[in-house]
Amino acid sequence: MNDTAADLALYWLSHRAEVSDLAMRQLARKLFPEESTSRTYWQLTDGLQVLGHLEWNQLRQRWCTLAPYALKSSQGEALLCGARLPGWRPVLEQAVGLQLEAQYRDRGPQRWVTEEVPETCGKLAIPIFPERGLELLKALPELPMAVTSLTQDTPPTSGQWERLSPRGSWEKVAGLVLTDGLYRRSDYTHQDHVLKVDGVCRKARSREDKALCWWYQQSRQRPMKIVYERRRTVLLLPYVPGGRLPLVAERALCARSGLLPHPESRRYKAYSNLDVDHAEQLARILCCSLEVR
Amino acid sequence: MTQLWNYEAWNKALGHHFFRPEFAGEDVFLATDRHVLHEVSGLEEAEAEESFLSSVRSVCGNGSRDITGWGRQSLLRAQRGGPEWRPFCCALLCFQVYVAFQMENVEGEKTAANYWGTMNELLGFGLKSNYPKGLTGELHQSLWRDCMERWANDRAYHGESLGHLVLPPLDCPGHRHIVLPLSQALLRREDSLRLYRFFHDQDLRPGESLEAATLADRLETGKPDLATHAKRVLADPLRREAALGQLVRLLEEWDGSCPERTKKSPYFMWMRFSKKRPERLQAGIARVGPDELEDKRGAGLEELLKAECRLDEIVYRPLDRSMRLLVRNDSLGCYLEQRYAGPEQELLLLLAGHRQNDVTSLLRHARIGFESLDVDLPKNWRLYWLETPKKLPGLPFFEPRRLSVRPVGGLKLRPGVWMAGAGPAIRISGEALPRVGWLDRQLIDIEAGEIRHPCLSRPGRHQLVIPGRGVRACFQVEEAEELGRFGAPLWKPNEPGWPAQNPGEAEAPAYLLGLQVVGPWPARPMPLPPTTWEKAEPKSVVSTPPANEPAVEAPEQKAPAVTETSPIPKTVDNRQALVVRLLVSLRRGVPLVSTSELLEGSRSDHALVRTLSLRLMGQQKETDP
Repeated sequence: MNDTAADLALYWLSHRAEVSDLAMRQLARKLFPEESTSRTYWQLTDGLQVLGHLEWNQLRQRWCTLAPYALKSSQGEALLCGARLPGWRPVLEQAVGLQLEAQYRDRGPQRWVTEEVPETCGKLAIPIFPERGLELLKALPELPMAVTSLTQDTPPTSGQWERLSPRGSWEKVAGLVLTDGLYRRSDYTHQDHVLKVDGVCRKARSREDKALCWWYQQSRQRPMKIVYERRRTVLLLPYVPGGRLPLVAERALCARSGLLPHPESRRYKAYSNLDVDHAEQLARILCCSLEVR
Repeated sequence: MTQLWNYEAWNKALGHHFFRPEFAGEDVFLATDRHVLHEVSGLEEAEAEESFLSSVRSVCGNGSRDITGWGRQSLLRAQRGGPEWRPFCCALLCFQVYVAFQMENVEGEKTAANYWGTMNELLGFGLKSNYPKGLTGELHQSLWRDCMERWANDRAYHGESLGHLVLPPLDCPGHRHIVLPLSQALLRREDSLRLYRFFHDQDLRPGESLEAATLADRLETGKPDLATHAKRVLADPLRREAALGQLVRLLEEWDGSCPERTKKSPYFMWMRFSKKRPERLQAGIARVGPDELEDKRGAGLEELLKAECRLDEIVYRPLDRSMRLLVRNDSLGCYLEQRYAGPEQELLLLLAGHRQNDVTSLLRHARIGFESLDVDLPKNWRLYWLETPKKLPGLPFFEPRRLSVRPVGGLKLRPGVWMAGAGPAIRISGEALPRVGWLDRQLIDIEAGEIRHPCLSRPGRHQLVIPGRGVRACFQVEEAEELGRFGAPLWKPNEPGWPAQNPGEAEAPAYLLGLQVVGPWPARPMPLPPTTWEKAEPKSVVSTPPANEPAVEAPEQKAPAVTETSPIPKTVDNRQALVVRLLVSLRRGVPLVSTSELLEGSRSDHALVRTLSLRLMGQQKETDP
């Protein structure tokens, strides 16, 4: 199986260990010269983060590749995450029966899974840990509780604002008297979002905070339902443009399958190879109803 | 060991080298020298020469089975194949031109005797000055005129779609047989010695790459002492361009030595510089090898600017004492000293005091922007950075016809080295863009000055040569083999909410990498069966704990003695156990609380522990002095 652009990006990031945001944008532009850099940048960083290869270091303002590690699943396989190099493929194929699987539309690096799980992966001494995504999901608080930890902020006194609508689009609001809801500046002069709940404004700065606010606001505005299909062991999450799951939760889901979600019938995003417990926990966190088929 | 190429292989290779669709409508000369043999075969020059000569000897040389090889090749003239077919005498005629390349001027010796003598010697027939065995004057004419010329210039056959062979007319003065191969030959091996002397006198530098037009100007002004044949070739408008290309190549291959003259310093100044981090400036001297910098050595700027730097007892001599012009060379990963700059190149200009005003005013007048850089330099020197425009004005240090070759795109592992799978594209700019070039010894088409070729993404060293334009660039592509040093952020609990990324942590410990939530978290208790509580380890919430440390060490975390996150037992016994744990914590300075609080069953476990903790904290505050 040939390396995709996302694989090349991961090799390069593994070699560099950490890069600036500008370098990451340039990387996206070089790998996908004919596509919109902004879109490919988001796809690339999102895919690598969700699959446990990359982290954003808020303090240093740099993208950091994670050290190589493997997650041992309950089926006895090991999923390789973190940094990787092309030369490892033959080593792992010979030592522990490496299997490759492409991601949906090559949006992320190939999934590397080994059949055997020795103490360390082959000669490369990659540490192996049990996959504990479900435990993490169980430990996460519900969104109403999670958003209370966001920093309180004074109500906006200037600027043009947009409000998140139930359809997931951003609609301009007139004036500065904001009702409860999630807001962002329409002139993009700064990137913080403002969540107003019961008259209290809170600031969402990071990607994670914004995702929390987005789901919180959506679940307040309209009934949301997630679906679990027992036969296919697939979790279906309603697809709304701009609606990314909080990274912690999404990584916990993807750590099980090692695969990025794929769209299903335009209405859902499908996470494969999950248990009903995952679905229950996610429904609890997102305050959604759960339908088990 | 020499790779064996038989005559057919050489014939095919040379035939396709000289006659190809790119030359349609252009004049073609069978100028065969050792460099052409090397280009055609991909062998080293000496190996290629040896292989070529042995293949020709096998057809018509001493010891060949059939010394009528000449005639046999001639008889095959009637055969004509498809567009890939080339006359069977092609390699033999190239050999005749090669003989002309090998000829040496011997005073008093007639040209004919010299030519046939050299041929006999190369074919192994000894020192004879007449026709070699099997060749006659009639056959010689037939091979050139009837066989080769008729095939190449036959409009009805292939419409000159492979080029037009230029032969002297039948009534041409001079020796009617020898004039045919001589008319095809460019500069001879013997001329190279005279040209080295010329390079030396012109203060050119070994390995220096100059545009053919610039060398032509120097030939006009320098008046080198050349042999009659070389003068004739350079004066011939048809052969001049090809001969100048030969001259460019000769300068690049020159090692600086010349009889009766001191050896030229082969060193050039290099600099590694980033505008973002000027304090990291590095500089030194190196020799420009065929593929990369050789004998690279770092040196201080003061030493370099005063030209006091030396390597192996050879002193570095700058091209210009009061100015250093360094051109960015992406394939070498540094700026390299040059005499001239071409269009669309990044330059560093180091100027001594008295030159600063002159050069900057010239640049301003030509409307070329430049930046003065604040770098620690010796007194009176200043460093400038600029990017030359596409259309170059006529300044003394610009060479408008120069081709600039720049790798663009691709992922770099380090300066001058690209990652396999993501190699660069090559952009060529300058006047009169070439249409063809040689990439890894394969002829490639160049469209609109851009080369995108899959071989540039394969590991190895790739060489681009544009004949006659002084372009020989190398690109190193390697597999990523080394991992970086990881120091990734970790996730921490953020009571009572969502975990956050490395709040307040400057450096995460090596074993806490990735998505790992540590510390007394979550606020929401984990339901565990009572029977397991006694043995239960303090719970940390770990999702994907990658680590550099061995697996047994990585997940271990220091758990608090008693925390809000500890699972709350529901049986009385277990509540007593909690009391015991709380009492243990007293030894650390926490005051005692009533156990009756613990036995209240009305509240939820989580709320109970929260109350307890608040109470403990409150009492501690009261007891504190």
